[in-house]
Amino acid sequence: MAPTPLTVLTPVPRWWSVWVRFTWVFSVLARGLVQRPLRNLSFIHFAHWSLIHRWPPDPAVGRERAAPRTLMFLTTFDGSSIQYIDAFVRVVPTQIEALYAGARGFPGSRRFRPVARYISDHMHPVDHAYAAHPEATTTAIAQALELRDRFAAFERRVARGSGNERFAREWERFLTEVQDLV
Amino acid sequence: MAAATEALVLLARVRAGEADAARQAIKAHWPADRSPFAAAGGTHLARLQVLTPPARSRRRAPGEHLLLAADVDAPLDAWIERLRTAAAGPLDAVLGHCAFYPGAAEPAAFARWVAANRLTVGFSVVGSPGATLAEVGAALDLRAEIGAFAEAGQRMTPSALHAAWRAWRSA
Amino acid sequence: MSALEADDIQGNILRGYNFPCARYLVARVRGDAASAEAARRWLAAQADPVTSEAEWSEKPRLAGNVALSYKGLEALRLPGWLLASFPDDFRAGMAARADRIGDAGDGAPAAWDEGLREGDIHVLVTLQGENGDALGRTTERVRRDMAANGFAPGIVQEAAKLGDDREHFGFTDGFGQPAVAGVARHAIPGQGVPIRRRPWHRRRPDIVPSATDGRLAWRALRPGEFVLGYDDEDGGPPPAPAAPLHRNGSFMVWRKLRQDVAGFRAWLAEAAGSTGYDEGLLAAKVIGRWPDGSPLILRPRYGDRVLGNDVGRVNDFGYRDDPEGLACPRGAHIRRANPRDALHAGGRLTARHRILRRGMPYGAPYDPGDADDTGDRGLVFVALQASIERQFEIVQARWLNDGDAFGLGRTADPVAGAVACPARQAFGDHPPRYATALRSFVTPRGGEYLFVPGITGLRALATL
Repeated sequence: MAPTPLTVLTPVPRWWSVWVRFTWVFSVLARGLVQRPLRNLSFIHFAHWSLIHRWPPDPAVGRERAAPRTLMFLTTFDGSSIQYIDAFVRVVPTQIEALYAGARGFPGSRRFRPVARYISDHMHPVDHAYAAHPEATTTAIAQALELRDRFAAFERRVARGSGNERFAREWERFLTEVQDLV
Repeated sequence: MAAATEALVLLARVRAGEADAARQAIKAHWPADRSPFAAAGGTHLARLQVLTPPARSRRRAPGEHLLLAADVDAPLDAWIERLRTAAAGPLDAVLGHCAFYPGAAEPAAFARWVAANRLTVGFSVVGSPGATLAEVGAALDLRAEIGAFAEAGQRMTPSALHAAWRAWRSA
Repeated sequence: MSALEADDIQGNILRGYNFPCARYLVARVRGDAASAEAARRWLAAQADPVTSEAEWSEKPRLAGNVALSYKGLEALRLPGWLLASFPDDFRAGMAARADRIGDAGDGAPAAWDEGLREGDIHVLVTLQGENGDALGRTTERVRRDMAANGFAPGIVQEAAKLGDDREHFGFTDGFGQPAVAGVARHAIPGQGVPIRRRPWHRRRPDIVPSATDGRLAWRALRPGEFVLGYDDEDGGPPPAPAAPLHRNGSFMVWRKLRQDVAGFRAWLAEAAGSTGYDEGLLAAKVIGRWPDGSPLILRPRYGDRVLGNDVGRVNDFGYRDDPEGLACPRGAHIRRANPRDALHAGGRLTARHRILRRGMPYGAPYDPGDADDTGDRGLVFVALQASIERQFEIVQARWLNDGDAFGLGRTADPVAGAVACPARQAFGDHPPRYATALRSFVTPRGGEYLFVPGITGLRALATL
């Protein structure tokens, strides 16, 4: 199952956009409070938040009503959207509140159904999506990268030449240590 | 340590009345199974879509826009240039509906247009920030091989295991 | 939270009947308007004889219940606004969702048994009882009755418990069920949502402490996870069809699953050779319990019949202290089907994916000496939940058909999942052992997504 792209646009009042920018600075400084819990959910390939203060104009059109200031959320995730929203609501609701509490019409982050409806109302279908490794999940990629490093260390250990018995012992020790990565 | 990946979020205005044509162009020139993004090399994930900004309540919806977003191997400038050369046709077919688009023929003009329409990413969560696309692919392959060797080797004698290892690692 | 209206909820949902035999009658509603009306009146008339959740003063010898598919509701010519109020998963039906749940190859809808294919099941009448012969006679009577009232009866699937509550692979089954708040019998440790124990829990009737882990307690699930019209874990009633079908009903997943006992045993023998494990231990590691029911997480090396028979302790466990799967492998069947606290964030990400199981084995026990064995044996799998997509389909697609949630990559559970590509089973150990299953030992043979109306709803079918 290829990962799912999601694009969500939410209008935000100016005062909330100021707060959002503050939380971004704070989040970078406080990785443990925001980024790590979101990363630990382990099904997010990428998630990016951007503020659109002014939407690009069309010079050929005369005066037109400007679209409101908007918080854009782009993400690609593994699994069903039910699990994604469930994880936000049940595991990191405070972090979601920090980004969305002041967004127009945001129903609060503590209940699944209102959040699912809000996302449904504010999502925009992706016309074309590409994934280089459609079968690879975030978890599998993270495991593979960690395993690669540990395997390299193992190869260095046995490259110094070893008899068969020692090699077999080292291999078993290595496998035992990395069994949650294989 | 610099991150191995960078994100591009490009938001451009679609000229009035051309949104449907832009969508048709995506359908025609950006097929799901042969994405031009692949041709650029170093593209982890990417998307292209026409979208309508939220409307202020009870007012006519503002014009439509094009979003091109990608998570790519750093440096981003190099990726943009690779995309321009490898996917000029598909880019022109779609971005040609955007205001001020200069075309993909001239590298400096293209890069300037991308920079002018680029959004700052305020905050990101990245699953594996330290790996290039090639590293990801190699690691996934290696993981599969380690699993297969682990299973095959589990009842071998130490000498058979060691010999199988040497055969595997020298192949 | 409102008290459960036991008289209005069909039986065998919140509490299993525990009869030894069952007959599942499948029928279609005939296509003409007169038949549709006759069928609606017949169904409405079942509101009285149908068995409810009300307490029995004396256990009856037989119980009957009714469920309907979306195609059945359409054939009954229910009004369009009512049909449109049902959720998408139910409306599509099981065959149309085959891609999502991995029904492919030999298990694809096109290969299902005759009589259990897409469109065959409009109505499912389930009769359960003590005695197979009496049940058979009642079944025939009901079939004749239905034939005279607008239905074209289809096949009858028989089912019967094997000894000791076992299923065909030889393992005791069916006793790990979700605890539902408000149902007295459910205050059993291990059935609810695993939570961290707190001193004030003593005052909560829906929370029971663990006897095996001092840090753990079990909170019963809100009834809305299984019965429409009551609050669920999201704090409100789940999406439900429009009145009069909005209350006291549930959604049923009914699947005939063939079990390849010979194939499973052959694979176990081969895998025992390659892993070095004794066959009995290996089988327990694949399932997550010993044949006597005792869980590997509590008894990693030997079964314990006493524990297996102790309802108060046999399900009282979590996986938090076994992240590598040394006691119970991460991909063991029961660990996948109900991960408890094994996923990230304790039990929070499993609470919304529980299912009530009310199935029963079918077919004669496997006898390797029987040259005439047709191999037709398995499980009539019956699951009940408020949302087929959120509950059954996520368990099947994300946990049984796929091991990524447990760090096992895209490997399926070979005794309950669809093995679409070689599935390397990982057995946590020092060093770990591996055995690849090339195919599933369980194959879907047919089934449907069904709606089990509340009794008021059933009665209302006559006047809709």
